[in-house]
Amino acid sequence: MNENRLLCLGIESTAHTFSVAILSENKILSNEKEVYVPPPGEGIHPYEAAQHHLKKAKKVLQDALIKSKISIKDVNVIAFSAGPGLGPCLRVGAVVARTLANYYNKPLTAVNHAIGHIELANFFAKAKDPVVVLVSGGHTLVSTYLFKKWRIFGETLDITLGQLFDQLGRELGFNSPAGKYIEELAIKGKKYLEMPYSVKGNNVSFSGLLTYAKNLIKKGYSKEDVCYSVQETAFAMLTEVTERLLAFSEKKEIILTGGVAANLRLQEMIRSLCKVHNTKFYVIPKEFSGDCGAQIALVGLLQYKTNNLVDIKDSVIRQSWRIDEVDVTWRD
Amino acid sequence: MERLIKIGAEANIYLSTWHGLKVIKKVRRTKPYWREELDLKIRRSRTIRETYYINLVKKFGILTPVIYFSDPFKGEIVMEYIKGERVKDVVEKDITKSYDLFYDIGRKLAIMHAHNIIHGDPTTSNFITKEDKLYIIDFGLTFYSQRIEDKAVDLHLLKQVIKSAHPKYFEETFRKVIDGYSNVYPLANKILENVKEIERRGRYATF
Repeated sequence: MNENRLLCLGIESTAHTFSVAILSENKILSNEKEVYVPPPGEGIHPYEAAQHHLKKAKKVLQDALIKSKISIKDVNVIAFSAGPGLGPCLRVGAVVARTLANYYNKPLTAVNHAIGHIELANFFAKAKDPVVVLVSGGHTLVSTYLFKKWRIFGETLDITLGQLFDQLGRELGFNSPAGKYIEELAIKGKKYLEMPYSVKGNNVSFSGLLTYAKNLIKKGYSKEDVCYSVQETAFAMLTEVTERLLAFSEKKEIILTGGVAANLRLQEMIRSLCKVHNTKFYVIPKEFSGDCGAQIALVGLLQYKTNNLVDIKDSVIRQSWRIDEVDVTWRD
Repeated sequence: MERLIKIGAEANIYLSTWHGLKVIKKVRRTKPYWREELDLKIRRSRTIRETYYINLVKKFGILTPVIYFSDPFKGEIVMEYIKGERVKDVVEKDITKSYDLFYDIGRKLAIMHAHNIIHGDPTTSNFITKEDKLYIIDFGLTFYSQRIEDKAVDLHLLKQVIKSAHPKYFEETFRKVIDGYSNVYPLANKILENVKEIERRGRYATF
């Protein structure tokens, strides 16, 4: 098969999700995943998640190849999520990627997971110069692109939105990720309970809000009202920070991405900025909002095209890896 | 006669007239994403804060606009129009000139911190230069605190903004800020240590 297109196989393995995707330059050919689910009321256990990924890796890889109708021999580059994330989980993805690259003699590229969230959202949005709002279990930040880096203007000073929901969910007996359960309860909430509102300049802090909400649950307040109030408060804080960046940067597009981007109330709040500031609003499609191989494959392909590759011996994982440390080789 | 000149993050800024004077009218908008109670509360308290602290810091020799009128219930402040340039724009145009400005920013922040006043939003668009003098605006998030941590957060905010908005000049400009800050404030070292600590606490920080 001599197709005139570039193909990338991307492996995502930073936390709950093990996923493999195959991508051409303009199409996601497959995006298969298996998600580790901890027992109810518990958070992710890194070792158990890694065990899960090890067991599922072969099946997910096979499914992705079959679905895309691509032979691995035709793939141009193998990409893996090198960080940030949980060490044991990252290692599984890295080992699978190195093995494939070595056995099939393919180039290897190391992708920053968060950059994956951003670029995949923009793959659909095709925005020119957006303000990015990245909200997930690992990140809560607002960013714009400038001089070869995604710059962080504001972020959480402690826990992320995803962690806020997961930890509140744990208190309520849900398993992580708990965002969707919190959202369902919040819709039924009627009464707004006053909560700590913490915006420090362009940054937010959710830990005080979490403690406060957990205490209200312990005191027997309605779960629905607490979830509703937590969402309203946390999202208002994030939206305020987004608005601050919008006003400061004077940009005309917003992209909302990451797992928590699927929350409809958050979308509604961020969208409410657009009329005031005359901006366009884009949100990542729901099926791609959570962690997936497509985000890794996409950035992998962009890196491959700009010769941003890594030798197997140097293909280390990075549990801590901020987006403003990544050299963006594919943007001007 | 009134003209909207800037839609800010929380307020609309109008060029207006007040008893024959050319003035700025800052009107805090109702935010669609805040619940009504919260919206009223926050807009009112920030209007009061801003009016109070803009006046207060003048006593320490910090230049701020003169307040002519303030209505917390409407979220409106009428103040002096400072026809200058934002430091944000000066950096990109004339970096040598902005070194002096950043030194002065460091000094002024230190003076405020020495009096336990935390600006709360020291971004490069909130410093204005006019005839080589530095004005500080936007005191809506300003508060009183003796805590080292709060002062460090203030500096961290400024550092973050310079790093993200003016990355080319980050090293030199922030050093100027520190120079100015340390020059007037004996506690500077302690606070700068705390800034590092805040960075270490950040997500995925590597040190």
